[in-house]
Amino acid sequence: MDLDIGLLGLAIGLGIALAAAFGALGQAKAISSAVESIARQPEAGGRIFTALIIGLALIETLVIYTLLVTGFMLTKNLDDVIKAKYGTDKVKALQVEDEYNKAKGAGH
Amino acid sequence: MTEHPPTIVTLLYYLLKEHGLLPGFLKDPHWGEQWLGLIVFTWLVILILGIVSFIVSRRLNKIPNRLQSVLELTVEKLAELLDSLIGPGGRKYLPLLGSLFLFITCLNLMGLIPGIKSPTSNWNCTIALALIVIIYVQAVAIKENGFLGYLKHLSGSPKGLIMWGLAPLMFPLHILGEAVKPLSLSLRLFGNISGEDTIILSIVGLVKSAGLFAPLPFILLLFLFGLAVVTSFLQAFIFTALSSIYIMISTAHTEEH
Repeated sequence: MDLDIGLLGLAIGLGIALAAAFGALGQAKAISSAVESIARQPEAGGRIFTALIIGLALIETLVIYTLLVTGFMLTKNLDDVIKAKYGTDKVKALQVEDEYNKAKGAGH
Repeated sequence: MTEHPPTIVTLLYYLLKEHGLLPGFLKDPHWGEQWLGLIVFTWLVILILGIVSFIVSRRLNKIPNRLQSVLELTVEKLAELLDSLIGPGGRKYLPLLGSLFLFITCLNLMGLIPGIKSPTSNWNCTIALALIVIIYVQAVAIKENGFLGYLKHLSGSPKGLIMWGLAPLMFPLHILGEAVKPLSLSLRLFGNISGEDTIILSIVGLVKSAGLFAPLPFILLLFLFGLAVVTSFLQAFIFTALSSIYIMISTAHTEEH
């Protein structure tokens, strides 16, 4: 069961990290060619800037998709896994953990 | 991270509930009392925008005062933007797309006021706006091209035997593409605004465990709020620009003749 929670955490962290990394790479390529073409022809700057902004938002949408799926995994699946482990919901699970730590003593 | 910070509406709700002054239809909302804010804040924005526009447009001076010139500048710039994106006839779509831009900007910016939660950080609000836009785009396409021309456009505008043969294959693909558009429009706006809210909540949650370094999260919040203001304007602009691009795609080929 700890393996389940561990793998879930790994999937969440790795998913959003990879999405952010590749999204940043794609946006860097877009911005670099946009800046280069503005430098080559400054009077077309307005239209190029508008196209750049729209393109950046489209790339960023994919990263936002990953963020939403990750957030959903974090809140819903984690609750399900904790419910399967402790048989109750999250608040009760945290109370059980507190009692366990108090019973163990030590300096928490 | 799943807790809901209090808003003016939830505080008022609990205050009234304690004293038993709730009206009958609000006694037991099965959808939860934090969703009352969605309706109340949306109506607040509608009333404010409507009253300001009504007061300014009641007596238009030839030499405008400050408020009137700000509104006139906004309308003119939006009309120019639609002209540049859709083509020469872009201005006639200004009523829906222009008011969509102002409405979404105000809805997004309201989330930064303490005590108010943006309605657009709720997926229901953004899916409603996206569905309105998509149905409007289909209606505009049918009106401009005729119903048969609309079906022809949906099957890829076939010219020649090979493309006519492939038309039944392209038809479901294009319909799927059209059905995905409201999802992507709404999820983009929802994800950006609710993501900003979540990040701000997480940073504020750091203050308790910061101890002596308590001012540091607030300095970070300064930059985050600046980013949130930019994101609000940008996401409203992206919504409007993408809707106008969908209109341009549907009505493009009628300008060849």
